[in-house]
Amino acid sequence: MMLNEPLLEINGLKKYYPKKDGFFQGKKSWIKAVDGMDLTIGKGETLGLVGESGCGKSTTGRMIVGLEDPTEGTVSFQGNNLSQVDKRELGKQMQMIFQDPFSSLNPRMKVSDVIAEPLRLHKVGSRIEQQKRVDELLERVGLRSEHGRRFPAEFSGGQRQRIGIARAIALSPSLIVCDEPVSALDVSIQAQVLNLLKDLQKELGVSYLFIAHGIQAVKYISDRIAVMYLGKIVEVATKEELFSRPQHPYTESLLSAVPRPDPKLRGRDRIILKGDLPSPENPPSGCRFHTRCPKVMDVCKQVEPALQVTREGTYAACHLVSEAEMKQPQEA
Amino acid sequence: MTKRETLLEINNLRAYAGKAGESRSQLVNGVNFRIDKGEIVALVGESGCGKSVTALSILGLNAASIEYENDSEIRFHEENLLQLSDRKLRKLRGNDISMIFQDPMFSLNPLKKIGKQMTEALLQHKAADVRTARQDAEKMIERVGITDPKRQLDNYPYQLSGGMRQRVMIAMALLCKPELLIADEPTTALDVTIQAQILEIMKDLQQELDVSILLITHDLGVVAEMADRVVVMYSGQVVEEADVYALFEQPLHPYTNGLLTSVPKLEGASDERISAIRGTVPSPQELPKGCNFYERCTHRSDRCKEEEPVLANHGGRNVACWHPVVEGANDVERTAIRN
Ligand SMILES: Nc1ncnc2c1ncn2[C@@H]1O[C@H](COP(=O)(O)OP(=O)(O)OP(=O)(O)O)[C@@H](O)[C@H]1O
Ligand SMILES: Nc1ncnc2c1ncn2[C@@H]1O[C@H](COP(=O)(O)OP(=O)(O)OP(=O)(O)O)[C@@H](O)[C@H]1O
Ligand code: SF4
Ligand code: SF4
Ligand SMILES: [Mg+2]
Ligand SMILES: [Mg+2]
Repeated sequence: MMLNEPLLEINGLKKYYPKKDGFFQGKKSWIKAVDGMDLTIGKGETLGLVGESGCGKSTTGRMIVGLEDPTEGTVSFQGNNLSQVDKRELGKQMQMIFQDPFSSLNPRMKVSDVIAEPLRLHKVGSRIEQQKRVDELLERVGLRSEHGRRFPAEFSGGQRQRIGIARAIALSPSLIVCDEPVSALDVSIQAQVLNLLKDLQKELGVSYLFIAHGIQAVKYISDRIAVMYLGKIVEVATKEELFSRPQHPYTESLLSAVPRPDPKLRGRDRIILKGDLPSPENPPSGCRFHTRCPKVMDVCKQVEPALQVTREGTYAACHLVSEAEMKQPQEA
Repeated sequence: MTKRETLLEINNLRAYAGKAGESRSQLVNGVNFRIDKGEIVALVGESGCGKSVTALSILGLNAASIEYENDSEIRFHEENLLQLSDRKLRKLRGNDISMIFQDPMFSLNPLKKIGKQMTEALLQHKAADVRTARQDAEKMIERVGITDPKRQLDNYPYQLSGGMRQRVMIAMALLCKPELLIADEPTTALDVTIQAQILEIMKDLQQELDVSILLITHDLGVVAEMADRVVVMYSGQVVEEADVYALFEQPLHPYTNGLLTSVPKLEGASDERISAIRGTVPSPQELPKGCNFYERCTHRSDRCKEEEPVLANHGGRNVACWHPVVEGANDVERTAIRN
């Protein structure tokens, strides 16, 4: 694998939320938002994180930047366990960009103050230097310095996302968690923002965790992609591998379900999954995908498959994959 | 292709927010298109371009503050829907023309059980007795892929997942076998695997019932999977209208072209930059004198700045542009050449 030196490592990460009226037979019950995750993000790398609504992507992102504490497991950044790192110092190194450009910016703050906030918080430079940096940043994300005097409400969705990006790169962090940064934007504006993120990465060498359910955008921006299903990672691979040879049946059906912008592809063979996404409050036994998997076997209902290496740098959690690996006959 | 019978025709639709004479903004600015019998027409365009206002005007469901120009027309069975009385419109809704709304809260009554809502609609329009109405509802709900229909009919909308609710909405909308279904972003809020299921169901039912569909979406993938014909809107106007294959093969309007190249490709290498459309949509309050796309266009000339292009025939296709895209010349910047 071409993974550079690891910047961030996640081990056995879990986040359980207590269920509201959550007592089941006298025991407290939990929403298992993230239920045992291992991941690595390399220096200067973009790791895409995809999966359906509620599978735990945002929760993962929030634990990585320290906005939430894990129930179990560790996040280590540059070799240091997050729980032992000073949160302020962490804020310099890691930033987050949110999906909703409309609610993630304080409406009562002028744009220049929004962008300068992290600089002030970390006491970087004098007042004048900070202002200069804000102008630079505005320009860098394709806005003008006079835009700094306006309020977020005066900007379009794409422009607000640019403001969010300017704020995120203000301290030159080494990792930015981008949580659905383009999902709320129109296609033509999505393209602008994706190009900007890619250019900034080349320039600054920053790593991204890019969370999205728009698979085209993830493919465009990512080096490697991790696929989640109900709180677990089911597959990790380079994007080339993932798109040309998906290993996990869920990945396969996810890719197959994407509507393709070419009418000549109509009538191609597609995997259309039946049934609804189960709730993370009550995930299926064994392999969590077994209620919808077109390739389900008896063993899948009881035994949970572990995430394991299938090829150099590719991981998948599926009994079929382990079987192929061990070349053993199917166990009934 | 055989010529099909026209079902609905929109002629010169102009809609404004605010009263005539006062400072009002033009939301829809001379929209023309038709929907044939049994046809799926996709209406695409960026957020705020007027897709929902256009769709809602068909059923008379726009806010009361929205006014139409006197000569605007929406023809459906020899009648102009814009002139129809409320009583007649109510009879039409859910029966001849039904709608799936962008906001699901518009479509389902949160206080009534699904089954009750469905049987009521049937009794109102199709005059069956309660028992057959209940049976029809059950059949329809099974048809959209809901298992255990009997039990689900006794649920309230909030008890269903997003995907199930969307399926129920489709079932409701098609219950009275309408001639036209207007579906405003029917799958935008759904996950991609559920979206694929629902689009498949819609397509099957469309063929089975021979219903026409006006499908509003900004997802070009959904357009390519579903539509027969595509109407592209920009800033309240139709800028291009074409058969779906022709449009994706060779878009003529620079905006359509830009939209298509803005989508990152799933196949092949993806390391090259996406060619985005620069700039943003002008607000309805500050539309320019000439072409609305002028500020963002790479094909523009001085003429575009002064004269507003109208939808016109260009080699058998309809496009509103002075300099339609021709193959092989997609990224010529005319202004650069002429200046
Ligand atoms: N603060 C919280 N309290 C209780 N439950 C939560 C909380 N945050 C998230 N959850 C639940 O945890 C699960 C995972 O949520 P999360 O927001 O991480 O999903 P996601 O993958 O980001 O989904 P989406 O694509 O919809 O943004 C969901 O079932 C969600 O309802
Ligand atoms: N009741 C109203 N009063 C005033 N302006 C309105 C009203 N309804 C819509 N508009 C404006 O009309 C324009 C067109 O809105 P419309 O809802 O048709 O857009 P759309 O193409 O459906 O966008 P989206 O993709 O975001 O749904 C927008 O600028 C919108 O703000
Ligand atoms: S383990 Fe079984 S159910 Fe799970 S993905 Fe593999 S084949 Fe399907
Ligand atoms: S009329 Fe001119 S500005 Fe408008 S889209 Fe055509 S080339 Fe571009
Ligand atoms: Mg999320
Ligand atoms: Mg709309």
